[in-house]
Amino acid sequence: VLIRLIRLEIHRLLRDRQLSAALVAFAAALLLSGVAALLDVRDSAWTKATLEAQERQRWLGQGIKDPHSAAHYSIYAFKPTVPLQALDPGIVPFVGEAVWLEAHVQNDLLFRPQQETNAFERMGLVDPAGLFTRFGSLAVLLLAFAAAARERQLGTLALGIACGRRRTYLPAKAASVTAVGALALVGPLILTGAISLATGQHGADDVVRLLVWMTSALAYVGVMAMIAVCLCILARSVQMAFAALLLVWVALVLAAPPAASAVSAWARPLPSFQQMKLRLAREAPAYWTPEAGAEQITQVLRRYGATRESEVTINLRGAQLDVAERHAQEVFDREIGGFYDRVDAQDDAYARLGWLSPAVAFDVISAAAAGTDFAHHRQFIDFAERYRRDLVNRMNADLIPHPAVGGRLHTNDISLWSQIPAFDYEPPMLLTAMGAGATAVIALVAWLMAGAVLIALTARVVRP
Amino acid sequence: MTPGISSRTLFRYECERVARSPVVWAVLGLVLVAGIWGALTTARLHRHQADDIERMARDEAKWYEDIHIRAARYATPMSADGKSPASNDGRRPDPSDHGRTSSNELPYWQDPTDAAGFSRYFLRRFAAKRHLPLSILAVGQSDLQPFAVPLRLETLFGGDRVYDFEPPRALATGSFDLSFVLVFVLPLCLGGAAAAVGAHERDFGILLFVASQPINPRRWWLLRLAALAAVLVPGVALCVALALLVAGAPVRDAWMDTIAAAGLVSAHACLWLAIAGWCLARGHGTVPTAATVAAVWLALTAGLPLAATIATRASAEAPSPVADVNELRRTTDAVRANADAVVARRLRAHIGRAAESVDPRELDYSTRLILITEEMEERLAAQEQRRQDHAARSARLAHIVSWLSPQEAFHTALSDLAGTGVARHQAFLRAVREFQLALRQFMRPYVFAKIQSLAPRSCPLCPGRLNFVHYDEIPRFAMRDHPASSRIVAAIRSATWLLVLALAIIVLGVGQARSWSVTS
Repeated sequence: VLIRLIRLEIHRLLRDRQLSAALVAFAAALLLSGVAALLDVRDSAWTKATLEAQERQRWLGQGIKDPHSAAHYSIYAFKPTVPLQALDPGIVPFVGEAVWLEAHVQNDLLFRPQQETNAFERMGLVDPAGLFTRFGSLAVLLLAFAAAARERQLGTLALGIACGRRRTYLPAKAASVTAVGALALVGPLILTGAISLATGQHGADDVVRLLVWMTSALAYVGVMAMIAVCLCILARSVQMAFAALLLVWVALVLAAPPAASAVSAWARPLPSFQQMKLRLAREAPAYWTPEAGAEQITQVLRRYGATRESEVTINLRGAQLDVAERHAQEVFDREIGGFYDRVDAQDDAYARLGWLSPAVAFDVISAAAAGTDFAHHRQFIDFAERYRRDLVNRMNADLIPHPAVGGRLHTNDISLWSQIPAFDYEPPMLLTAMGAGATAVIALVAWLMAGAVLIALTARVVRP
Repeated sequence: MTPGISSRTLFRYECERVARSPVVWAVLGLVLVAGIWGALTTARLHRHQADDIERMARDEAKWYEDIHIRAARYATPMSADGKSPASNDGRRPDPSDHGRTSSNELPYWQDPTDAAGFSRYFLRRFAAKRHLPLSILAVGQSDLQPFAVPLRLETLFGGDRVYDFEPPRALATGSFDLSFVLVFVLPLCLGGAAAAVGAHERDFGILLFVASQPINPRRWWLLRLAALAAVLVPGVALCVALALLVAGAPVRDAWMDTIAAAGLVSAHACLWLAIAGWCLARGHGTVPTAATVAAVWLALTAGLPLAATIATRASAEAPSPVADVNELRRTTDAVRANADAVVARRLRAHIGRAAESVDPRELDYSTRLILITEEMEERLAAQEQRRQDHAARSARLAHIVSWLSPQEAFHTALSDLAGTGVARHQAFLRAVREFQLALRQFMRPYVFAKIQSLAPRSCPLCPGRLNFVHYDEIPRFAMRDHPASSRIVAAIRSATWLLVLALAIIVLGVGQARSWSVTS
């Protein structure tokens, strides 16, 4: 009976020409933004892959030089563009895409795409997931309004309940709204994701990611459908139903994510980034003072069991660089690592607010599944920093046993450069980088269950 | 209604009805609470940024204090063995005081009294974009664009590419600031309230009774709209002023900005009331009116910027900063491969024939870097021009979009009035570049004078070279903003545009409200 009712409701919804036209318009907008995102992702992935190869060639072909100069020359590392970025770019437009892995400093990632754009482009919300989360939910509410708001006025509600269909009447409404919403809204996005996966060489993890994204998108549509159907059925008039739906949308979808973001910033404030930069400049300067230089020499001499510089036959400058570099690495771990830990904690706080809004929960899961949240970004930062340290430490290690002879500095060539492997970053598997997404999954499941309970309760208490 | 009822009486009656409506008070309450929250959020962000600027200024002052101390120390002659400066107190100094015990001369990169060493390793200046009095009005781009930029002479085309790290997730979700409440939430609230109050008679089936009274539908509609505006517009403006006050904005000191903001918000509220009123004039009930307002809101808030974004990307490909890295690296390699020739050529351009006696290979890295930077900027000028052309094109498009979309116009006007908009940031970046050029202009003569100087060192036994000690004369960055009056004029211009649109919609509504539409 439930299946028959669902089928009937779907037919009824699709027969409404205006509604169908509105849904087609929504689907077309999503598809259009998906196509635009696909082209962006493809171009970006190609550019980065090409540049990465050229950087490798540059590194290998830098000729004969002082290894420390090579450590300064180093490479630019590019954060790979993941295929599901076409679905949800997450934080990608707001973080850098390339980092110069030079000696002495852990540079920030450069070139934030949004920093180069205009204000209206930020307002444009061009990404498919943003459109789906914010305005797709509005389409779901519209569907629910068409499906259930006039039932009381038309007397269909009384008929449905009187026919002994109290238990199936509301679930059928919610399921039909979910099904039509999923078809019109999730369908184009899944198509976008599938095309993105099909156009490159991607592994099983990416397919799993797409499936997780799809499941959570369906759950989001389902939650919104259940809430909307209940409100429409409980409202005493069409006006009340409309007002309630609009209010729910403004509160749960439009205002909740930025509001939750503000709450998480109050709850888990970040230390000042500039203050951290000043501490880095103070504690791990790229160029040391004479006092710091003397301290480094003392350390080097202690390491080699000597008391005077003339007692050691090493490249003192190389050893000094090594001491300074390893000290700086400790400072970076403490300061920069600590700062990013706080960002992670704030993201966790935001994800926990998924209990207050399904849009917040879905927002977190979507970016995590697409591989475009901060947890994934940090994996790249950490990988790049490990690579930088390996490269710089190796250059210093080559320098230390080779003191300058007759005023001529030690140099090396491709035999040393080629010992540094190519920068080959692989994004992590979803399960290992879910980050705050796990909390949000629980929240969305809770919303789904709460929606089901709401449907059951409404079905029990509703009076025609 | 009695025959001959005056407009004033009817208007007073309508005002009382609007003022008694719980929906109206709910809307004003929501705007006030959300507005205060939004304003506090922005105030917090901007307070932190202002603290950072103060901290950076203190740190810089401390840095130069230390340099002064070092300069004085390095100006003290040492004994011939290079180990014991003839200090005034006659005590033997700690060897770590100078770091090098084999010679009395410091490496140039540790010597702040050497012009070249100072220019590369000690010169510290930053450029800051301080917040305007009413910055709390809108976060704008202040969470995304850097508010303080460190300056180095060798950075290409301006300040270092830095930014203050705001949590990227928060940037992606957008800020819950006062402008978010006013641009995104307020139109829907006003539309809902106007629909509920305005279509009351129709929804409850008593419009026929009203229509039977001796009153012109046009006058009735206009007075109802005027009553809605008379209560809601000042109410919203007052909520904004209160929110600013609670969040600590200096509304009294910046009273002109505050009035401009209130005027802007009032014009925006008038526009959305006019849109809702137009639906009511067409005889729509609560639901169709609110639905139409929501649809218009959707089109103007999301549709138009989305279309403009896609059009921008399709019409002209934006220069890719990532792809520019390739050009930068290639140019760097090309310049470095001929570095000696480049340095010699550039040096000749600066000091003329005196350069012929200088072996470029003998010059220190800092001096060479000054000349190499010039060459790099010349070779990468086309790339920079492409970037600037794109920014200019983008600004022109944004200007057009802001005229097409009242939402964008309002948002831009709020950000510009707050001083957090794109235009002010672009002006800041231009000022940063000018300041960098001024810094180069200041330092170069000292660096080149050192090369040309045939005079012996002023203090041969001192660790420092002592050819640069003018630390207090180094230029400081000061952003010259446009006067407040220009911001206010811009806000008035935007408010006028919004009012013209509102008026046009009201005229359309007057045309629609010729007769009573008593059937739904």
